[in-house]
Order: sequence, then structure tokens, then C-alpha cells
Amino acid sequence: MVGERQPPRVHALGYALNQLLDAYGRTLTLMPALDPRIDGEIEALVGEMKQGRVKTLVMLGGNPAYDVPVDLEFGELLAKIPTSIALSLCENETTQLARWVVPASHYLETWGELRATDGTLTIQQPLIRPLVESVSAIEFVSWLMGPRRDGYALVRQRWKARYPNKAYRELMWRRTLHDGVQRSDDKAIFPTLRYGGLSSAYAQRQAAPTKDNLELCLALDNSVYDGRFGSNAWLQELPDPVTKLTWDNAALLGVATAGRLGLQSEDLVELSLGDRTLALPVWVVPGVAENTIVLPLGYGRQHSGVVAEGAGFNSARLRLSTSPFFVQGVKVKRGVRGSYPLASTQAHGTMVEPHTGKDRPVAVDATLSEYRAYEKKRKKGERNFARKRAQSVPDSQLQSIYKETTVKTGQQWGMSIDLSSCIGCNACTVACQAENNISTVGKKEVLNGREMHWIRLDRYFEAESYDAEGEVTLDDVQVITQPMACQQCETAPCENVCPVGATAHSPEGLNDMAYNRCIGTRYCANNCPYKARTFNFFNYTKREDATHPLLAMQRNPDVTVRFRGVMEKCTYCVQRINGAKIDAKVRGQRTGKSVIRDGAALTACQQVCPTQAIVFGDISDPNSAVARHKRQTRDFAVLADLRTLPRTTYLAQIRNPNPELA
Amino acid sequence: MATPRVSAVEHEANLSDPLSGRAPLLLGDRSLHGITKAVCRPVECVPSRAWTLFFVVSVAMMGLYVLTTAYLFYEGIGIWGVNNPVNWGWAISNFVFWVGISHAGTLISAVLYLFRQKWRTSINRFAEAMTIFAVVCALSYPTIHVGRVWLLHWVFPIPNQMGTWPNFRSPLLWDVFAVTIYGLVSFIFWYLGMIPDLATLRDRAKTRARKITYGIFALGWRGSTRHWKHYERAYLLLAALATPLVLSVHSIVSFDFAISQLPGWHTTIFPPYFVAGAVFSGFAMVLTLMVIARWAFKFEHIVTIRHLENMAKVILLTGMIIAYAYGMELFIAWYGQNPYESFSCANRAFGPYAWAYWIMIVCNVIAPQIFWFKRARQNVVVLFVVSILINIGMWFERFVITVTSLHRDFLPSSWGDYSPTFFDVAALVGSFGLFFTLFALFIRYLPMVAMSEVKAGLPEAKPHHGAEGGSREASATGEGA
Amino acid sequence: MAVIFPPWTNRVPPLLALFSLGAVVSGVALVWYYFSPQYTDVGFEPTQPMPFSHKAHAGELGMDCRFCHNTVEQGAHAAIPSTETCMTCHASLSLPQSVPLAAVRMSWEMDKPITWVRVHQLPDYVFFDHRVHFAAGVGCVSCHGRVDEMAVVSQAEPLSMAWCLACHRDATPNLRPFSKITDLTYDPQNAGYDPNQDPKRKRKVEPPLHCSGCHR
Repeated sequence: MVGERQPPRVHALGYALNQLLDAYGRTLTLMPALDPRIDGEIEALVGEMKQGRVKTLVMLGGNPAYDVPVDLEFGELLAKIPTSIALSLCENETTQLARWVVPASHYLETWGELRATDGTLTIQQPLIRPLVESVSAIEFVSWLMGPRRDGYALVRQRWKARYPNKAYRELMWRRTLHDGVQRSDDKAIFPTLRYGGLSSAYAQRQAAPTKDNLELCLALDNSVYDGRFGSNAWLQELPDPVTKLTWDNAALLGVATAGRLGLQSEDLVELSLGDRTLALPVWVVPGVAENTIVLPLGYGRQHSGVVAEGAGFNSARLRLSTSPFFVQGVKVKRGVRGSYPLASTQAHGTMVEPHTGKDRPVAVDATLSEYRAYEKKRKKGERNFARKRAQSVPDSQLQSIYKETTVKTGQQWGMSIDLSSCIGCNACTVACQAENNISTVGKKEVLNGREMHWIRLDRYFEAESYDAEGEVTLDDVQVITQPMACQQCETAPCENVCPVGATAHSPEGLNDMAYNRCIGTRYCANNCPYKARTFNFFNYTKREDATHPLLAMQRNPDVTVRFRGVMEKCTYCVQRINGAKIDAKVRGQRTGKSVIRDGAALTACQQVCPTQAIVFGDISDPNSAVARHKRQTRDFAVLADLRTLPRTTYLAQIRNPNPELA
Repeated sequence: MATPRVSAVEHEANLSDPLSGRAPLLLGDRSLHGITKAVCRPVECVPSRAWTLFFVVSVAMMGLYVLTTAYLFYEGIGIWGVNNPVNWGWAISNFVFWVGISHAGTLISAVLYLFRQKWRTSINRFAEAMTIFAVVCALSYPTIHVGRVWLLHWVFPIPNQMGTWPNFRSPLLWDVFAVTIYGLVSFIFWYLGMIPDLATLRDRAKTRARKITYGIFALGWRGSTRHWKHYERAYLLLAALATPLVLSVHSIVSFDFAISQLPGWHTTIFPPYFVAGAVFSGFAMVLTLMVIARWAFKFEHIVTIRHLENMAKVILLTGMIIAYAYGMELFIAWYGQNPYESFSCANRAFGPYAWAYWIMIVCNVIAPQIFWFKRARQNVVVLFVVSILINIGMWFERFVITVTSLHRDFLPSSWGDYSPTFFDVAALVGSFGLFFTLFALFIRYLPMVAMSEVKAGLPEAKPHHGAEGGSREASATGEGA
Repeated sequence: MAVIFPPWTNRVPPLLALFSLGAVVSGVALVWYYFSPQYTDVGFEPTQPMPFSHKAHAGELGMDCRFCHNTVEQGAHAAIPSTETCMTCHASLSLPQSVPLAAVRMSWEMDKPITWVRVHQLPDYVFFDHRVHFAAGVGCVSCHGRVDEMAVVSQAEPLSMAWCLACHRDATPNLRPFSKITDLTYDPQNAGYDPNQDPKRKRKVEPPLHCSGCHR
């Protein structure tokens, strides 16, 4: 699969490769394009705007004044158009320049129709009435052309045209509403692909960047995308999975390149492309290609509200229509005065200790051949290969000399996280934030190390390159991400140090956090070896409510909203467990069985994980998904030597690199 | 009437014992009345300008503490530099620092009493006062550093409508009991010991107000045999009660760290190490304050160089214990092969807070070594400078222990750092303000030296004193130490 | 030595000490009682916007609690009924003029809900669920008292944590047959009811005692 940013010749190469592999019709399907993107459309429009031929411009969503390449000067041209109307969800650069601004409804508030790339149809159904006076795109367009009608009427009208027979129409309507989707009859296509111009296009490709010819690589940001989510505090505070930066973007440089240029993280530099410049800080990231500067897009927003204000730098200043994503010849000017503080959530990026150089096997990974070789030689009773790496002593030596005193009754909750499946997308972090009323704290507090996320992605670089002297370097790295939340230890070190007993162990294996009992001595957070606990240093809820008055409506009523001075942590979504348990008890009154069946209680992180890396359930049930996961030979616990007996265990990451490519 | 200062010759008079018997403990005017006059003078005279300045500055610093605390309660713990992972910073370092300082007084009052070290009488009142004030400063920190101060009463095992008790397994709760009892016992001990002196002040009082005030607090002391008998017995009992507290209280405070499992905290040497450190820092603080006080209030003949030298010897001893403890931590980190422990030691010495670690080593291990030399032990300037260095070093020790273990513990992903904010500094400065304010009031209104106990050690106090006709310079029994 | 204090002042210090100790102990005890829900909440009887009498409806007429508080079997919150529920009877019933129904009729016509004052209110950090208590067979009277005898509803039980724990630690005395849950006159102890012998009970009632049972 070739990424969207790549130029046409690379896409053509991709097609050719796929055809050679005979992938079409088997692993890849080509469908007819629903919404063909026409090259040069925006340039044509800008051309017409320049000639003054555009008198009225209606913009349905989007933010062209921000993201259209700068050399087209869309913003200046927009300001000159006599009648410009922007339908927009929020204030942004475009609404600032448009003559008229119409508030747009959110897609969850209005009716509409959506079609997937494979032709599947779905009806967009609203969950609530519009919170403010607003219109959706279809309502607006129809209003421009006639009387104002609401989205429901418009969708029904379209269906009337599609199904003239009333009875059949009603049947299809109800069925589609119920099912959610309607399969399409679109078939895969098998176009004939011609590669005539490919070799010449390939021959014209640019050479690899050199130290005199640096390449600038503009990338869509992992959290704010192209900037459209800049006003979303959750996404601004979400650390980038690789750089761990929040609230800002930076010029990302590899270790060797930065070293050669004499730059350190947070140094201010000035990047220039032709006569366009951008001053911003540098962030050194192991693994960035040599002589390349990666610049995330989507920051440096203006007129977009308090959240986006001051967050990052507008990389679009260096984005030209001729080279929207990759361009060579960018110059770096060092010695710009000062440094710019960048809020990163992880200070130490590797599992190697400084001063001693020793390795801490916190996140275990191996190649398939290593794994197989070990498992073949493993004797019965010996710990599995992941535990061999992660634990310094055999399992037998981790037995306590004291009798077990933890009370265990009922279902025993546990979780297994598969590091092979985890792609480091951060969805779990945001889902947890949404479900559990976790506050954002702002850049200043993230700089102070006080971000509130209950589950975080720990990202470790593993060096794979060596320099001339044979010393290991961080130019070429493997990245392993490990989601880390409260491990719900059976012998939790946090429980016995709380002076008021605000954190106690439930008989089902959860480490309960009673917010109303906590007086905030913070000893529990000190004693947690995983540092999974976060403290409300200020009244973050009050601060959030001041900037987001609607946020109070988002909060989950099943979870306490915390005041300042109170400690919080992952609870395995105990509100969901309790909800499922109440259902089970009520049901059990009739059936006699009041056990929560596997899958009835899903944690928010589990529910949202796109690769199903997180599995949660009853470990005392040998048939549950989580029990099966934990029986795998890749299963290990982090910091098992401390004998915290965590209920969350991990499955080691196994990679299968092609030996010819390695 | 000015007290004659000690002459240069006399200054050396009691530094070594003669071949038979002991050198006198006190120099200069050693009569009973002389002692009374010397000690009561600061209380009865108009305070000097120096004292007034000292008092005003201290009150200003204490005011800073009050304001900082008010802002802390209003805004939240976030105004300090604490964060995730370093959830305890200066506030807890200060707490342990002040509790440590408080131990000197109890050791001098109680332990040295049981060991019959008569030289303690010149300094015990002063040191005990310092204990009380240090405990007050110390207790202020756990009070203010909790996130929800208005619910602090939940740490007390009072019956409540929630049907819950506090968690008795938590070291923080043991702290609550230990330090509270310590403060209470120390206060009672100090007050009881002061009763005869308060009676002296009452009897010498010129104004009615003073008569009544000192009279109330003197509890009707007549100096009768019965009163003395009760006094001595109570004193002995309280000394016996306070003695184990010297060892237990700071051991329990050390459990705040030792019971946790962080590398650098989780070591069994912490209780004796902390107790020795407490005595070490306490004596250093006593020395700092006493060197100034004896010069300012002119009783260098009551608190002689010999007394200061004895304190220096205690400092040297406890300093060696501290040095042993440092060495033992390193040894066990190496011998035990616990990777987290070894890293913690390496991080302390070479990591981002290495500067604090080496200040600690220089001030706590190297500086007191000078006290092996008699000349150094008997030189007031050296004593003063080294005691200040030790105070600084001991504060840094608590800082190093608290912060270096927290900022880099088990998971490399959670490593962070800590830097104090203005309010952290204000809280430390403010606590010194509180301490010095109380101290200034003590100097002004209460007798700094335990007159009755000092007099009890003089030859005139011996029952058979006048029998051989007149006072003697030295007697074979019971004088000096 | 002049006598500053008369002899009777000798008795002051010990008496003062005793008095302070007594003051502290009684202070703790008084605060414990007067600040507890037993004192502050029991007997709370707010004036409602209109005089609805449970005594008349649930008592004399014998209406079941669930007729109005209908969500108690399906959800966490036992709903205060909407005006529509009142109007099921009062739209057509003819009652003497003295009965003040004007407020109900006005609420119905104006489509504005009656602003009832809530009597039983637990703090925000307590998540109480009616449904599961109903399913366990805990009677309404156990927590709400004899509402059918109240002209104006008042809180009968403290609803403090210790009070809840007392039942959670030993629920058996408070369990009753499922048919008698809304029967406010029935007393399971008097009737000699044993939940363990009840054939209709298919599961053992195990109330949570851990923190997250009620606090999440």
C-alpha cells in the first residue's frame, strides 16, 4: 500500500508490484472511485479567484485559508471575494477571512448519508439535537437552492427517488436503520494498467538527500491530523506515539543529523525554503532518516480559540503546491537565539540505564527465530522465553515465604496486552480519557510532568545501528510501544501505605481507588513502581470548565469527577464491571447464574483498540479470552521481580524481519 | 550589673582534667547568685536592638510562611514543584530535616541525664526548646502537604459515621502518632524542668504582670523538699520515657522511606542511619545557635568551650556513623546485585542531582573530620562554620534521599525530574522564620539555661559544702564531666 | 516571698487538665454525633411545592410504590413521577374542592414539571443502584421508612456509610420475599422469613463490601 503523500510515480510502482504479486482480487481490491480527486482543482479555483472571476464562494467545511499550500495565497484571495460564505464547525483562519460564517452542525447531530469506499451505504443518524443553532452541509446547500428543510426530510426525499414504491421504501428504510448498513452491489474492478511513462518518471526522481541537500518531509500529525482537531484539547495533549510531544510540533531530526548540525532538542532554528522561512524548535528523534527534517502539519493555528492558540508552529508556511509533502533544498539556520520549551511526556527513551549502561527488560521483544529457538530448547517447568528476559529469577523463586492473605472471591479480573498487536495509535489513551472524566492540564502542566492520562504508551527505542568504533548508536532503531496503566497488583505496594485507607483491594482483584477518602499524601504514587497513578495538583476540572462550558455535558455520570488533592488511576473501568454485575445479578435472580459472561464488561481501552491488543476478562474462567491469552508462551509481567503480582500481563512482541532486509 | 567575661587564661582552665578529680564545669562567677543573675539578665532587661531586629526578621519570614500556606490551600499542591514521578519534594525533605533537628534536645535532656553527664545542664534547656520548636516546624509540613487539608482529621482514629478506621499499616500514620507523642512528651519534659526556674523569675519579677504570669506557669513552686522530691522523680520518669523516643521517633520517620520499595529507600539501615543523622544535625543546630547565644548574652562561663567541645565529639561520633551508613549503602548495592539499587547509587553520584550528593558528602563526611583535632574542637569559629556546613549537608541528605530515588525508579519511561518553585523556597524560609520567631520569644521570656540544674552541679549545692569551711574550687565528687 | 495567689488556686492546674481532657473528648463526641447524618439528615422534612400526601395515596388508597416510582426495577435511580402519572387519575377524578390539585393541573397544562424537593440525597461520589437492591429483595421500608404513614415525606434513616455497611455485612435480616418488597407493613423478622429457605430465591445475595462496590 502506498501512502497518500507519495508522488504519482511511487503509486505507479506500487501498482506494478502488486500486479507482479498477483494481489488484485486476492489481498487487494480496487473499487470504482466514489469521489474522484481531480488534480489541479484547487489551483484552477485559485486561478479564477486571481482573475477576479469568482464573485461568490461557498465553503462547506474545511479550512482552506490554513491548509491550501501557501504559494497559492488562498487567504489573501479569499479576503477579496465580495461574497464568501464559510460553513464551519468552529472558528478558524477561514472564518476569520470569510464575509459570512454559518455554524455547521456536528455529524452526530444531523441526518445524512454516508458511503464507504467499497460502496456500503449507511444512514447518518443523530444522537442528540443540535446543541446550538446550526445547519448541516446538506441542509445548507438545499437551503441555498430553495426553502429550508431539515436533514431528515432531505434524506427521506433522496430515498423517495431511490425507491419509488412506498411500501418497499419503508421496508428498506427501517431495515437499513436497524442494520446500520446496506451492502452495495459495487463490484471490484480490474483495470488495465499501463506503465509506459514509469521508467522515465522514475529516472527523474530526486536523489537521496545529502548533508548539503536536506529534505523536508511534511507529515500529517498523529493527533491533530491536518489541523482540523487543533481546538481539541484531548488531542493536543495526546503525546505523539514516537516523539511524545504534546501541544507543539517541532522540526524532527535524527541523531546523526542533529549531531552534525550541532543541534539539541529545544534549540530554535530557522528553516528556509527559497524565500519562505519558519522559526521553530528542534526535537531529536532516533530513527528519523538521515539528512531529513520531518515537520508535522496542523499546528500554529490562529483565530481558533484558546486551545489552539500558541500551540506549535505553522509548517504550512513551507508547504508549496508543487511539493506539498516532500521537498529538498531546505536550509537550516542555527544560532537563532534561545530555546523553546517542548512538553514531552517521556524523558528517557530507551531501556538502557545511563551511567551503568545496563539494560532493563521492561518491554520484551524478539525475532521469530530467537523465540522459536528458545521454545524448542525449553524444558518443562522452565519459565517461558519472555519471562526469561523480563525476570531475573525463575518463577519458583518468586514465591513468598508468607501465607497468601489476599481475599479472592467471585470472578477475578485480569488483562492481557499483546505487544505484537499494539501499533501505538493512542486510541486507548483517549478512550480512557473520555470514559473516565480525565482532565487535560495544558502545556505548562505537561512541562511540569503532571499529565493525567490513566493509560499511557511507553515508547522505547532499541538501537540497531553501530558506528565506526562498534559502539551502538541510535541512528537506526526499532520502536516498541507498551501501554501502561495501573496493573491492579495482587500485592499492591500502594495499598498499605495510604494513611487513610483510600486504596484497598477488592475480592475480585481490583485495586479500588476511593476518591472521596483520599486526602492526598501521595505516598501511593511514590510506592507504585509503574508510576501508574496521577494526582490532581490543581482543580483541573474547574479550569477545563472555564474554557469548555460544554464539557460538563460530555462527562460520564457513572464516574466521579475528581476535585484537587485527590489521586486517581485506572480502575479496569469498574463502572462498566459494576454495571455488568448488576445486570448479571438481576438476571441471576431468574436463572440462578449471576456471573458476568466473557465480553459483557469491556474496558474502554479494550473496546476501542483497533487491533484488539488489549483483552480483559475473568482469569479464573479457563475459557475466557484473557485466560487463553495468558496461557501463551509469550506471556510476561512487567517488573515481575518485585513480586507485585500484577493482573495485567503482556505478550512479548515477536517480529519477523526478512533476513535479507535486516 | 555586668557579668565578668571569661579571661583568656580562664578560658583554658577547664579544658583538661587535673591528675586528681575533675576540672570545674563552669568558669567565671560560679556562685549561685552569679548564675541566677547571668541567666535572668536577658529575660529581665530591655531587649537589645539586635534581638528586636532578629525578632522582626523572623516574624516577617513566618509571615511569608503563613501567606505561602494560605495560597497553597487556596490553589492546590501544584504551586510547588512536585509532579509525577517526584510526588514528594522539598516539603517532605524539610519535614525530615526538622524532625531530625529536634532529636538533639531530647538526647541531651534525657539520654545524657540517664548517663549522668553533668555537663548537659548548661545546654539542655536551650536544646530542649529547640526540640519543641523544631517539632512544631516539622509537624507543619505533613499538615500542609496533603492535597485535601480540610480532611486531615481522617488520619485520627476517631469514631465516625463512615464506619472506617485509618490504615494502621501505613508509615505515615505511625508518623502521626510518633511525632505527636514526641512533641507532647518533649513539651512536658521541658516545661516540668523549667518550673523551678520560672519560680526564680517569679520571685525576681519587678512588675505585677510578670509576677502573675510567671507565677501561673510556676504552678506555685515553693522550693520545698517535697516539691523537689516530686520534681526529681517526675524528671527521672520523663527522662526514661523520652529516651526510647530518641531512637524510635526518627526510626519511624525513616520508615516513611524504608517501608516503601523504591531503590535507595528500601534499605534496613535507614532507622539507625536516620537516628544518627538526627542527632548529628540536631547537635549541629544546637552548636550554631549556642555559639551565637552564649556570646550575645554573655554566658560563655556557663556554656564553656568544654561544653562545646563535648558537643563536637558527639557530632564527630554521629558523623562517623553517617559516613558508615553511606558506605554501607554503596556496599550493599554492589554486594546485593539488585540492579535497581546499583543504578540508584550510580545515579546519585553521577546523575542530574550529583551536585547535591557531593555537597552532602563534603559537608557530612569530610567537614566533621576536622573535629579529630583538639584545636579545631576548641575553636569557636571552626565550630560555628562546621556546624553550619553540617546543617546544610543534612538538609541536602534529606533532599538527595527523597528526590533521587523518586525521579528515576523502576520504569525508564516514568523518569522525570524535580525543581523547586518559589513557593517551595518560601515554605523552607518560612519554616525557619517560624522556628526563629519561637526561638526569639524563648530567649526573651524564658530562661535559656537550666539554672536549677546547673546550680545543682555546683559545689555550693552539695549537702556537706559549708562543713569544711568555705567554698572549694574543686571537689572530688560529682563536679564536671 | 509575697503571696501572689490565694491557696485555692492550687486546685486550678489539675482541674484545668481534667477539664481540657473532658473538653476534647466531649468535643469529639459531639462533633461525631451532631455532624453525622443521624442528626443532620434523619427527620429532614422539606416543604414540597404542593402538598402531595403519601399517607393518602400509598397508605389509604394502598397504591404500590412502583406505580409512580416506576424505574426502580429497571434502573439505578427511582424516578420521581412526571405530571402525566398524576393525571392518569386526576384528569377525571372528581375530588372535593378542598383538595389542592390546581398545581398539578397547571403543570399539565403549561407543560412545566413540578419542582419537587429531593428528600433522600446521597453525595455525588456514592453510586447507589435501586435495581440491584430490588432484585435482591430489600424492602422499600428498610431505607425509606413508613412512607405510607407520612403526610409529608421525611427521611427516616441516616443513609450514612456505616448504616449501609451494617446491612451489607449482614443482609439477612433485611431480605424479604419478592412479593413483599413494596409492602411497607411487612416485617421479615416478625414473619419468620428465612431467605435461605425461600425457593423463589435463585441466587445468594452477596452485597459488596469493597470500596468500588459503591464508590467509582
